[in-house]
Formats: sequence, structure tokens, C-alpha cells
Amino acid sequence: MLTGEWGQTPDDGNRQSRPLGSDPVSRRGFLGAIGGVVLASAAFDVPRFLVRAALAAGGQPAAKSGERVLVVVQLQGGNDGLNTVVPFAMDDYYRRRPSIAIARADVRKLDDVVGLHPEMSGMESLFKDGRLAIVQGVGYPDPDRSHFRSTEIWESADLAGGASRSGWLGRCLCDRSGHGESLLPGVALGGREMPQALVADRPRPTRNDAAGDESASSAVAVESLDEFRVRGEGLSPEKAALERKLLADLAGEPRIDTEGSLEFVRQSLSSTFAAAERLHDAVSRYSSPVNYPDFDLARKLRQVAQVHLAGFGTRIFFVTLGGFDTHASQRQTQALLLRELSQSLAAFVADLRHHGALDQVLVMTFSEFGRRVEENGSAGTDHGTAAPLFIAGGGVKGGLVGAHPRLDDLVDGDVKFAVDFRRVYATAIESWLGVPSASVLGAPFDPLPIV
Amino acid sequence: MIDGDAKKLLEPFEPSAEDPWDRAKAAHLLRRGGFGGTALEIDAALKAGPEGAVHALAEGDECDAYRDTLALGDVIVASNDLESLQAWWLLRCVRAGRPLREKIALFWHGHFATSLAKVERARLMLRQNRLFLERGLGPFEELLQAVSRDPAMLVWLDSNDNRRGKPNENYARELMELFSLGLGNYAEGDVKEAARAFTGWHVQGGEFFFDADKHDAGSKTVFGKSGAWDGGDVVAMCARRPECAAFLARKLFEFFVHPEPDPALVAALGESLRARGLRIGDWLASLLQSRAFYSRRARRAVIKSPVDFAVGLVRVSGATVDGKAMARAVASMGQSLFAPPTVKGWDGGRHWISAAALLARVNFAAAVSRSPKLDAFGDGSVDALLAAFVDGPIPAPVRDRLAAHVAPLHDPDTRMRTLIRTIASLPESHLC
Repeated sequence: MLTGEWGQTPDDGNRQSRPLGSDPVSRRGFLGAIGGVVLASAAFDVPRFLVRAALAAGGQPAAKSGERVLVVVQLQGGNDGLNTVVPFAMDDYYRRRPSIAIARADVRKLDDVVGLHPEMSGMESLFKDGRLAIVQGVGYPDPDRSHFRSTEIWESADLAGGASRSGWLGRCLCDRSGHGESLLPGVALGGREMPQALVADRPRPTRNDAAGDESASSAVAVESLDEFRVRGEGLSPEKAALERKLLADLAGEPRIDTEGSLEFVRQSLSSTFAAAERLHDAVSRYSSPVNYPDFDLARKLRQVAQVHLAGFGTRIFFVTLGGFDTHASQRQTQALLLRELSQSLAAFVADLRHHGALDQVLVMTFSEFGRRVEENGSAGTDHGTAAPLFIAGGGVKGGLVGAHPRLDDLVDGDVKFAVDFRRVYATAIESWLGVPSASVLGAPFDPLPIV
Repeated sequence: MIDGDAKKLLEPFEPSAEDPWDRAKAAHLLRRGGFGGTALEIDAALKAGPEGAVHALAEGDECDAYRDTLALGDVIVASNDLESLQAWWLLRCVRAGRPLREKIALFWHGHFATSLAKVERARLMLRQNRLFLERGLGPFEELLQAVSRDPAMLVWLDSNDNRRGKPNENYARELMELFSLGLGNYAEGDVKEAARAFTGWHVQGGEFFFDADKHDAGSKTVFGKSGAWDGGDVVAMCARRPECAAFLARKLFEFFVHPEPDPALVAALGESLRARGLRIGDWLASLLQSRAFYSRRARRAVIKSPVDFAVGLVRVSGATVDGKAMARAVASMGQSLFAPPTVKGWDGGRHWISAAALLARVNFAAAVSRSPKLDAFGDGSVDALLAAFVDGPIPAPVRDRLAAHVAPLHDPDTRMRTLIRTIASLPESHLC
């Protein structure tokens, strides 16, 4: 009869109290079966990210440890770059946009050629402060004008369009060069659906991996921070607190089985309960003299600040502002959106500065494409190609990067791109986060000298 | 482990006086081959014996509620809404009388991972789903042939870009790497040549369409054999290689039995699947009756997927849930059905466990405990509920702490609801 680990189980109750390999047959079966891998990995069974969580639970705020954070703001729908960073000195701009061009007098001038949309006073201040870089004419070769495909290109950083649906930020999180583990390495705020940018591309786990802690590299997508908690719905606050304590105690109680899946899950649960409580406490303790404006994006960025300041070691945040697909009546729609972007970002920066954390944070925007130079018949613009992109933060060398694309030298009615978007990514990945970018981007790209 | 041992592990489990066919084993079978059993279902499995219980998982009585849900598919896809599609499949899993069929469909969905995000047409996703449901337990070669002509798959892997003189290798590569052989069991040249064989395998108006003009009818050399192969020939060649049986058997074993089979066992598994002509259902039935399946090592060794966790909890508790809310919860736990993250599907195992996913599980358990309708569990005691929801022993201090917490709750209903959500939040509840 077979005995050992693969043997039958006559008495469940005895299983856990019986040490592994306690009889010769079982020992042979065990070693033969797993080739020492499990034995070797038992020591690492405690997921590495829990070490970090324990640190966080012990009250070591990462915000003080100088770790760098990347905040990506997606402008969904294809933001019209020409009415965002306005080339007021180019006559072609006014000729091609008779009804929607921003009047010269209204432009917030940055130099002799371009200026910001009148609603962008907050970002104008950041620019004057030297904390905002504007990269002009960002795009990629052979551009696609479909929302889906172009978003896929920007989020995957893969122009070939393979079947791999991983994203540049997800791949970046898989590389842990020089970074500690985190319970929340990447956070998308504002929706349950994971943006493709944060999808990791891991090889199918080998046995070694399976015994490791790959979950540490996975990002989470949450509607809001309230989701990151045992909610206790339908219970009084007192009863909910009692139950949270109960669950933490039940997960904290040691099991006889101290290796394998049960222990992995138990420790993960135990640290999750602790981390959720800590996050909740930190968020409720958070206070700031900065008043965020009443915008959705502002609320998301405020939560980003809260998580960052709570010290969870989150390296990448992703938030989305939608509605930029301005085919008709563009003026009002885009003005509101740019106001939301500019005021929210300015409040976020002010908040971080107040907490002494601005130097740790880099914010960048992106949109799947810019829009046509020529306005359409509905006082709007159709899908185009290259557009400017914003990068803000304490560590940013502010200013205009590159020249505004010429409007008298178009391809199919669109501006030519000057800077490959993957150079901006290389800047964020390598110059800012310190992760080698060639493997993440599939090829080497020169970072821009702005951080 | 010597080979003899590996083969023995695949022999049928024979109940004996010291190792009987008992409730614990029947419940184990219902969890792995389905989504967990109620007391009545466990009674029935106990009575049917190991062989009869496995048979029932695939061939048992189907209830009207399930048939009605299944029939809703065509209505559901009209909305082209991901959440509705997900809710529909989850409710099928909750109601299934032949849960093994839904379970194998889930397996194939992870194996041939295709996403609505790119396919964009729910109708095509439904069609692929039906394929997995109806043919998932049949011969693998037939399934692979059908998948290779499945419209959703053709869109997913860019088949329309695959033309004579301008081959797109996407499908040919995934066919070998992910669907049949696994990395290292084919050469780059095989992928290149196979891609030519699939040229002209297009999708038009949501249907498979062979475009002879775009097909490269020339000679190709795949796995050292030359001929004017077309896609069907290449699929057959892949399915008939011994590496295919070993690759599939291992993946199925990891899904249904234990995440870490040793090499000798993998070899024996491959041989046994091959001996059965890659008839998945036949082989799976023997696997689910094997000594390995009922071994001590296999018990509580698998981390439940979000679908396993959520569907199991709803089925065993007898709760009524809103399908869409359940779909949102399962997505929050990390498994968005019909929208796997990559062509590799979900990584599974320990990758299911993250802080956000665990909190989503705990919060879903709380939602289930607020269901208007719930079953009764024996005398409603801590022990009765633990026995209903958790496999295997719970340390005494955990049991006692639970008992102490509910002791002041005099209302039996409140007590039961509290126990359901707290027990479902125990570490043990995430394993099966």
C-alpha cells in the first residue's frame, strides 16, 4: 500500500499533527516527489511582500524613505493637443480652426510660440515654478486613429500588436530592481477594471515561482479606497469593529501546518487585515490645509496622496479622466476638462508639497492620440496623431521639451511626431523609477533629460 | 519516486475498512469536480460510491433552473455587455446539476484564453463558450480543430492578417506554445511554417471563412514532415505528438488534483491520457477516482479560484444573489470571466492571493450572509457550519474563538449569518 504524502488519508485529524517525512517511506516519497524544491522554498514561504506590509504596519512611512512614485493620468478619448498647448504664433493654427481656435489674447503664454489653454492657470503656475515639463509632438510611427488600437499601443508600448496584452507599467512592476516589496505595488483608482497598462506579463509560474510570492508584483484596481477594507455592511460600527478584530485573530492563530498553501494564505490574510486597518487609520488621520476642487479627478488624486503618505510603498498609481473625444462643440467640453485637469493637479502638487513629499512624486499624462489640425463641420475635431504630454513633480526639470510641430508640414492632415512616446516612458521607468527600461519596452530608448 | 509508484497513484482508489469512502472524500470530489456540495449532494455522492459520484458530476440530472439560464445566452449577448455575460456564466455554475461540464469549460477558457476586450462581440464569446461546454469533455483533437476555426479565437489572434506571402505567426505560435505542446517542444521553424499553413483561415461576418486566394498552398515542413499542409493538418500533428498529452495532462492535474506533480508522475499522466486517445472526459473520470486524487497530499492543496470561492459559497449556503453583483465581486477578486488578462489566461494558484483580492473575498462572503434566503445547517452550531463549509480540521483555538464570538448572539438567524461570513473568511476557506 502507498504511504507517505501521496498515500490515502484514513484520518484527517492526524494529518496536521504528523510531521512531514516522519517515516522513511514518506520521506522518500516526499523528497522524490518534490526534488527538494518545497523544502528549499519553505523558508521563503512567507511572501516577501508581507515583510514590507509588516514594516508599514509598524509605522514606517515610505513617504519619508525617499522612494519614488509614478502617477499616470490618462486623458481618455484623445485630447486635442493644439488647443491645450496652443501655437498662438502660427498663422496656420488660426486659419485651420476658424471657430474653435483659442484667441491670442486668451492664451497663457509660455514663450513666443506657444501657451496654455486659458483654463490652465494651475498648470501655468507649475510651469513658472519650474515643476512642469511639456514634451511637444509626442507620438509614434505609422499612427493608428482607432481609440481601441491606439490606446492598446500606448498602454502596451508594443507597436506590433502581438497577443500579449500586458502593459508597460505591469512589466515595470515585475522588475523589482532596487525596490522593496509592497502590499500595494500598483494601484489603479476609479474603476474595477484593470487598465491594460498595469497588466503584468509573467511567464507561467514554474514550481519555483509557485512557491515564491509573485502576487507581490500584481497591481490592484479599485473603485475607491473604501473597497480596501472589511466593510462590515449592515453592522453597527461597534459590531463591525468587533468582527474585524475576530477575523484578524482567526487568521493570526497559528496552524499546525506551517508550510504550504494554508500557511501562505493564512499569512497573506493576516497581513491584509492588518494593512487594511492601517490604511484606514492613516487615511482617517490624513489632514491637509489644501482644498481639492470638487472634481472626480481631484478626488482620485487626493486618494493617491493618502495612500502614498500612508507609506505602503506603492510605486505606480494610475487614474483616468475621460471625455476628451470632442468631435462636436469642443470649446466648452474641453475647457471644463482642462480646468478639471489643471486645478486637480495643482491641488495634488500643493498637497504633496505641504507634506514634504513632492520630490518623491512624478506625474505624467497621456492620451491615445491628439486631434486633427483642421476643425470639422461640428465645431469639433476628429482623431489625429501626435500631441503634447505633461510631466510634473518636484524632481522635474521644467520647461518646454522640443519645438511645437510645424503646421505647414502635415501628413494626412496631421502633425508629424517629434518624440517617440517610448522615450517618455524610458524617462519615467529608468531615469525616475530606476528600472532598466529596455526589457520593459522591448528595445532601448533614450530618456529625455527632464528628471 | 519510482515509476511504479507513479502508475499506482493513477489506479483507482479502493475504499477499505481503514480508509473508507466517507463524507470527507465525497465532499472533496464535489469541490474539485464541481463547486462544492450541500449536505444532500454529499449524501447522494456517498451513496453512489466513487465511480457513480464522478459519473453524476458529468451526467447527473440537470434542473430546469439551469436549462432556463443556459437558454438565456442568446438574449444576454444582445446587450454586448461584459458584466451580463459574466453574471450569466456564474449563475450557470451556481445552478449546474452537471458541474463538471462547467468546470471543464472554465478550464478551457483559461487554456484558450480569449477576451471580449479585443473580440468586442459578445455573440462570438458565447459561441466559444458553448464550444467549451459541449465539447470540453470530448477528444482533445476535435476540440483543438474546432477552436482553430472558432471566430472569437480567429479575431483574438489576428487571423485575418495571416495571408499568403505575409504570414502572421500569432495563432501558429500560441497553438504550439500555449494550446498543445508547451515551450521547448517545437522549433521556431515549426511556428514559421505552421503560420503559412493557416494563411487564409479568416473570419468574415462572424463566421470562419477559408479564403483560398490568401492561402499559401505550397509545401511546408512542420516537425520534419513536408507536404502542402493546411491548418487542419498542423492541428492534427500537434495534437498527436506525445508532448501534447504530457502538456495537457500536467495542466489538468494541476487544476484538478495538485499544483505540483513530480516529473515521474507527469510522465505517467501523459502516457495514461495518450492511452485514452486524449479523450478528456474518460481520462478525467479515472483521474477523479485515482489514489492520487484522494491522497492526503491532494487534500486542501489547491487555492480556490475566485469563481470556485464565490460559486462554492453561494451553492453551499443556498443563498440567492444578484448575478451582476456577483460578477463584479468575482472580477474584484481577480477573475474577470470572458476578459482574461493575457493570452496565457490567469496565472492562478498563489497568484490569486493579493490583498485586494482577499478583501474582495471577505466582503463577498459578507454579502452572501445577508442573502434573503439561506439553507439551514444541522443544529446551527459552530461545528455544523464548519463541517459544511471547510475541508478538514480547524485548530481548537480558532473554533473556540468563533464559538465565543457568537455565544452572545441569541437570535439563531443572526448567529447563522455571522458564522457563514466569518467561516468563509477563514484561511481554510480559500483552499479546496
